[in-house]
Amino acid sequence: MNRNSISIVENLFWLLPLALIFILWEYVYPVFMIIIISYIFYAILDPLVCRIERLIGIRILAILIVLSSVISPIYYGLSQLTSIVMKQYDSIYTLLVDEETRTLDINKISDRIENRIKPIVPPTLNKKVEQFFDELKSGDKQKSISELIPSYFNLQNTVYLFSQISTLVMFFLITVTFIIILLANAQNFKKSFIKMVPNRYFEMSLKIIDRISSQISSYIIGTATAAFIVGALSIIGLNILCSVLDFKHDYIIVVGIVAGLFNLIPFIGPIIGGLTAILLFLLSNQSDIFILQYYHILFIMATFISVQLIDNLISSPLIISDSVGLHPMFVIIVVLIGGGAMGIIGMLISVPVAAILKVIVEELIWGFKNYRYL
Amino acid sequence: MSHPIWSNIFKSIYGESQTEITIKKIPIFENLNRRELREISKIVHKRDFLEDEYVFRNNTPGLGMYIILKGKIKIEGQDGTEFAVLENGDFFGETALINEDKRSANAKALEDTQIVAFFRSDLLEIIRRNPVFGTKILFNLCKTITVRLKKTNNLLEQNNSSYHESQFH
Repeated sequence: MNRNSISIVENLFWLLPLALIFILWEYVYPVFMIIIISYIFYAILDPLVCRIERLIGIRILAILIVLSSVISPIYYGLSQLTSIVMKQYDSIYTLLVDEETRTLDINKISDRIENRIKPIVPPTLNKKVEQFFDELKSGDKQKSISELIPSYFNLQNTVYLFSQISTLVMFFLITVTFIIILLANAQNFKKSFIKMVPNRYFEMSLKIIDRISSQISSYIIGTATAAFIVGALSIIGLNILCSVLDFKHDYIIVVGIVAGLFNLIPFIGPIIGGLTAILLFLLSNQSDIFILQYYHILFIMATFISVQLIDNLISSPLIISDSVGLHPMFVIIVVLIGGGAMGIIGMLISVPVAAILKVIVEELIWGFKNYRYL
Repeated sequence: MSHPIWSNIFKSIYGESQTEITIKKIPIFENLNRRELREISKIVHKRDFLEDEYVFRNNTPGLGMYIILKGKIKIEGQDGTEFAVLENGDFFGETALINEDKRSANAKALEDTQIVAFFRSDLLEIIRRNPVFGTKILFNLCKTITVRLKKTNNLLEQNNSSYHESQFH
């Protein structure tokens, strides 16, 4: 076989695994999800493992120490948080869902919000508010909104719940195993991958992989920290607001989680977080003495604006690398595509996935230019 | 025990691999203990190059150093001028472990050649995980570069003196 034939075979060799992934996407997809989640945790935990490895000298021991010291508090925290979240979820469930049909009860929600909003809206706008909620209650819209969520509220079905929990446990165990393997052998994976690359692209591939992995790691750590800070600040802010203004917000933890998670979506995410806080506040069970004033909502909005200001001016610039900046228009398009393809989860993961793809494409172009293949 | 499979298995368990034997002779990996040498031989990338195949080209980003296990490598300028021919146990490109500057020459295999590559990212990973081990390599690297610098200075001095002599006469 001459040099050209070898080169062609080496380059075509890449098409085979790619074609297989496309053909078996339905089955490969869950594995991909596990790999992505494991990689995210690997990126977050690896610096910690290296720090401990420096002290004790044995990597596998360092991994076990980190995992046990990270997983046990997370497990404890999650179990505590889950009971609070489940209580808040149950409460939201009874508020929002019609028990018989197990779909969103738009009438109930509309009545509740309408009654709360009417006193704080100027009398001239009252008619408009009534008209809006009447339209919302009318058949067509009710159906379309109800169709959005019913499957999420099927949790009360025991068999479904059981299968979901066992799938989740399996998912958790496999993910933890993958994280351990990645933490112990990431270098070997890189080496095995590089081994398959033809000599011609060997240096370039290694350089690109290093640049991509370092940028993605810092992006993941930065984004996760920023999301955590936003969630924590939202919870602290709302708690302070409740105690100062003497009102009640029953779903602060849920609002914090939503705000933190949706912070992954630039521009749109913070608005969704704020709106969730206001919507759930309007649905909260207030004491009889409490009279809703428009400034209560303004204060909640101000809390979220303050959280965003802290995030945008202080925490994010300090922790998130600038190199992964995305154009606002591009973000909106990506979120729309993600939402269209995979719903809420698609919206949440679309921006990080797009940012990662942007880094990969940029680094590939950099590599091809610098190694003179372009 | 004359069977190659068995000899290979026991060689890898009790003995040193070909890579270990070669890299421990390289000044950059001097004074490393057995465990550290084994660690290095796990990290490095072993590659086979066919005759006339380029290991790297002039003006591309430098990533790290190469050690020749078997075969011959020609270091040449952009126009093909031969600078040096390196053989078994020789190494080249070590300054790229510290500096990301572009390569100043082509490296081309003169025959079917097996080489071992050790890159800056591997060195950084060692420093990150085991600073004492990393410092040993860095110290050796500094020594190697200092020796090369002294040699270059001597050559420059010789050239200068012969130039002055020729001018004087």
